[in-house]
Amino acid sequence: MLMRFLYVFLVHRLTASLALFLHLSPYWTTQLSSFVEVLGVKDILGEKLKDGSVKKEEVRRLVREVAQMCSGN
Amino acid sequence: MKSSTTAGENVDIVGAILKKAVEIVENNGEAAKGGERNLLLTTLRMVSNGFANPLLARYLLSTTPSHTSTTPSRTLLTSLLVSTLLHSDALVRTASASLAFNISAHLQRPLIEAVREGKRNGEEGVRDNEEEGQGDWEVEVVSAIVEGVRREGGEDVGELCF
Repeated sequence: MLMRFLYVFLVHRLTASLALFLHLSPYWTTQLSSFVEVLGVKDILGEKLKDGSVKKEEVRRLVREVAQMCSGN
Repeated sequence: MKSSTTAGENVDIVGAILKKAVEIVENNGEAAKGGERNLLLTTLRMVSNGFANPLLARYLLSTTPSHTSTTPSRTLLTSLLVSTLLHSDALVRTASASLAFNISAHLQRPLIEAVREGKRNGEEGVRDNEEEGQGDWEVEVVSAIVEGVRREGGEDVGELCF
């Protein structure tokens, strides 16, 4: 139970950090956008939604939005 | 952050603690247990809280060596963050994720303000103190965060030590 809580907390925190690093970044067009594409961030975040391990809607929405940001849409 | 001792010497206390924590993760890696793990946790929480103070935050992200340390504090902070984001102990990873969040929030604040003031979106030099190589540093940290997210598995969520 505690581990599940920590897991959701970690995914939430890390995804929020990622969002803040990427959103409005002056390096988005020159470095970051191609980098996140190469890393496959969209798929990594998509997996978190698909495997059903994150159930909290607030976290799922954030993960979905960051995945969308990383897909270039 | 300099402090003066009774002998009048300037001592970089935060830098010294960061250096010690980096030594622990470099020498012991995943094996850091007991007192060393506790020092890692406390250091991560201390520097996370440091981002509440703009001066201390600026010091922590400084790329110029201080007169007491040849390694810039941002280099030490990055080494600590990157290693602890992938640590086997879930509590260390949690503290590290909070540090990553506080760093990103600190960097995001001037960007939001610039947009509010009508500056061009994504313009470089919006943040104070932005140094050469900032883009490469952001790429390094983003890569560590993404690896951290990737490794967090639904079932295999790692070890929790008390």
